Amino acid sequence: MNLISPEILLVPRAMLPSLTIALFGVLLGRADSRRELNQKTISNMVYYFFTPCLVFSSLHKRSFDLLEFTLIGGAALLLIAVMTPIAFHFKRRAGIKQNGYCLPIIFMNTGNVSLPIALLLFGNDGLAKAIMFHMMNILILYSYGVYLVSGKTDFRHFFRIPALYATLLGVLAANTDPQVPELVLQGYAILCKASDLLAYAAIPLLIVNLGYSMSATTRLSTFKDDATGAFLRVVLGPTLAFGLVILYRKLGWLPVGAGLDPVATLGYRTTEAIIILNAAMPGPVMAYLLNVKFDNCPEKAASMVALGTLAGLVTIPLTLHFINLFIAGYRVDLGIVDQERSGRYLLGIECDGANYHRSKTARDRDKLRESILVGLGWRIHRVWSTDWWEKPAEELARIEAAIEAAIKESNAPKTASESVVQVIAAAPPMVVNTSLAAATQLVVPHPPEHEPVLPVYEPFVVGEIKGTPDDFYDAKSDASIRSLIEAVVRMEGPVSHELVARRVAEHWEVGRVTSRTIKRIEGLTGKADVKVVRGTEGTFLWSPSQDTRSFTLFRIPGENEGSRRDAEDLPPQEIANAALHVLEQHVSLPVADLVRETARLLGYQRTGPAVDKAIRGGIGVLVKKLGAKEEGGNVVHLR
Amino acid sequence: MTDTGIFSITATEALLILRGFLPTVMVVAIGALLGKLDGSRHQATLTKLIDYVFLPCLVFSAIHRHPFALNELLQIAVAVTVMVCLSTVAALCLMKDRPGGAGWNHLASIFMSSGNLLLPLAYLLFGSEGLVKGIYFHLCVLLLFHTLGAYLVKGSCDLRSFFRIPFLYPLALGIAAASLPSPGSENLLEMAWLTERGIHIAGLGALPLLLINFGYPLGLIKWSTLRKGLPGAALRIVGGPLLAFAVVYLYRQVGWLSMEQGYDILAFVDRRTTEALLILGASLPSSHHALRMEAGGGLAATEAESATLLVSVLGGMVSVLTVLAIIDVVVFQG
Repeated sequence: MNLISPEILLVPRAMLPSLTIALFGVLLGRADSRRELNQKTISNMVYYFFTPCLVFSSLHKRSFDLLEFTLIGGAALLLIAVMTPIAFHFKRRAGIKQNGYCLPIIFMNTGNVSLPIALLLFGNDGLAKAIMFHMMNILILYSYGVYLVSGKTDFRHFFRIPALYATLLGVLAANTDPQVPELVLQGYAILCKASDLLAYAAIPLLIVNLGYSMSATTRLSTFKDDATGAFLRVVLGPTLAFGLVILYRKLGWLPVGAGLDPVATLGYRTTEAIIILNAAMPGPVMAYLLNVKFDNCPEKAASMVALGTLAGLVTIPLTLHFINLFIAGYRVDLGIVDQERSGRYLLGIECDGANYHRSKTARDRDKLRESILVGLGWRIHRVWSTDWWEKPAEELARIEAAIEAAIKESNAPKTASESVVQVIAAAPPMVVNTSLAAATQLVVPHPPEHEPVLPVYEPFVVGEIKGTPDDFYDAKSDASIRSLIEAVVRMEGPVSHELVARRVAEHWEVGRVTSRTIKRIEGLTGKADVKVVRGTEGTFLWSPSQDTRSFTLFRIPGENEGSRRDAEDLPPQEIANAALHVLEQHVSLPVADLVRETARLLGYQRTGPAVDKAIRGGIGVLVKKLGAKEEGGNVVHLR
Repeated sequence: MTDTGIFSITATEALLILRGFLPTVMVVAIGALLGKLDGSRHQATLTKLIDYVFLPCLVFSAIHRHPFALNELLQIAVAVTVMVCLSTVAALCLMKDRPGGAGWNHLASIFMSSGNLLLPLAYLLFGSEGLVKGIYFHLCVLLLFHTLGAYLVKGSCDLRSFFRIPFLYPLALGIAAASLPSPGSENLLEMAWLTERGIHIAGLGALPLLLINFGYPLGLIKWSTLRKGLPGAALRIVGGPLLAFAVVYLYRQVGWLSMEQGYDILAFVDRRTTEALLILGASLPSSHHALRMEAGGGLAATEAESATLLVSVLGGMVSVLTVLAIIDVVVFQG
């Protein structure tokens, strides 16, 4: 029995990875009682190297949208503008004269905490949007923020922010496609890889640094002083952001409907989530550092930052929960509407591709997403794209069974196919927001019409029984055996010698093919009108009309059980043709993938040792004689 | 296609090697730059962060996902021991200033940078499998360093300091986590998975930090002393891989790293990765732990010793690339 329900786990899930890392920082701080660790060194490394690399790595991979930047940056500006008079009002009420008190209320910690959560919950797209918000927040902090604590605007600071140049470079790289020599492109790729490598350290170092700072500043005696400021930051901030998002929606800047482009819709929802998430962040450590630099009530700032960060442990997950309810950034590929109860979904169908799931980040995020969807009461049914293409009828039957099970569970009496599901062919998959979308239909993409029909292996059907097993070994059966060999080879050729022996021996009710059986057939094969091809993979019989060099056929198993062949019975030439067919679609594949895909094409769902060996033999033929070459672990199509 | 007659390597493979290797060189160079700019010498901060937070996360994250195989650890341990012991004999013969025993300060020509350099390179070039083997390699080097190395420098083994290395404990925890059955409750599993996500993210952060930590002291070594480091560095970056090739050949001969492809292609690739890792590890530049141990033993690192480190790093840029190209041909294509 599960002690904790998925609904309760929903909230801490989003923050647990970040909290784990922060805990390491706190533990390090506690262990380092003499504070020997130089935080300035860490801050400098993060500031000058790791964060710019993270910013560049995130931005150069996606196209820059000025409208999106205006929406996100504008939101940051508006939130800061609204928070400023509120912060000043509370400053006056508290009887504090120094402006430094306002900084941790007005500004948000959009780096240390927000970036990792954005990455974990919303992927690279979320991270890029969070960076846009972060840049605007930093821009204002280094101009207006410095003005507040020092009495003068210090734009020099702003123009010294390395992340600013990383942003510009990232945007430039994402939006230009210069015609440069290949060598330069390769050099650029290596630079990007180095930047990605450095970016790995940015988020964990930011969080560890924060944890380390908290270990020193989170003393209970400081809590009482500045609870109001911290509370304003983490509670009023997200409330204002929700209002702002509603305003954006009303103005039509962030359309609510699903729209025709599901990716664009998902992008709008991510933008909303990022605005609210960032607004819920506690005061930034940078505000505290500015207060220290200008000696403008640094103790109060430290207290507010620490208290806000601690309060954030509760308020940020809560905000994420409300974001999920309000925006529902999670989506299912297809939603099956319960026609009996309007606005209710029976089942969500997820269409997965192997390539998508190979990506570790995507897989992890998917797992989190599915658990959240299940936590929200969704039933999820998964369809593998490869299964769909290969056996759509079976997959459709599985979907129908899942729908029927869902109907039974919800006590709906009608069958899925009759009343609930409408099938629309050849339409793109629909995106359904889990809590916003209107009624939808099941959209089932069919294989394209130009998909070639592959020849099915037709087994030789056993005719009349010619005699007893003893008769089989009798010389009087020679002629019959010889003519049967020729008939089997004409029908099934190229065919393995052993399979021919099985087919022929069945006419004499020989139950088990032994070496004696094979020897008997072997003796007569030489006299039959067939071609015998011997190789390392075994002996195969070809029809005289078949040319081993120009043979381009391969056959897949049909419905008939007899059409399924053992891997040892597959002629290498036929396997080579099948592998070539796979390569024609993929151009180049790693050997292991080519083995698996070819095996699937030939009807083997599992690639055991025998299948693996046979397919590799066929790929060997392909590489030796046909249009492919092996290079760096990949087989590449040459034609 | 680059065909030298001795080995042939395609442009794609060369590019893959460069894409794995050059970014690490760049990050090491950034580390050297940081070291040069940091007038207050705060490398201890970086080292502490790596030793107590990031490296343990990397080790646990890699090891607990990998089924523990004693045979794999033994293969690497024996190879590392053989290579280090033979390097020691060669170094004793080559460095004739002292006959060996306490006070001998030429560890830089024996011990390779198995932590700062090998772990990131193993991950970038051979993925998670390579990283696990790199961790085993590092463990064996550390043990030899605190026994044989300490004996050469101080005249006695220093197992106490070996057991104080934080690296060992996440390794043991990781092996335990990989070997023990996972918790039955789905919720507990989910919590463990999310916690592990955090550890994994922190672990990835170790990769650039290790490289920066390696580059940090390089900027301080005097270039004028380079000549003095030539013999030690040659032993490290030329002798090391030669010994490794010999060990791998021997392993193949005795069937410990069989060339038989067999039915399980993954097992075959795994054996080849072990070979590649052993050769790569043996070809890496000197470890600066060696200099630190000598300093800890009351010996000032000689100019020759510091120069050995710098020359091995500079020469390593060519020798490691060459070794990687040979690994590609001899191990993976062969």
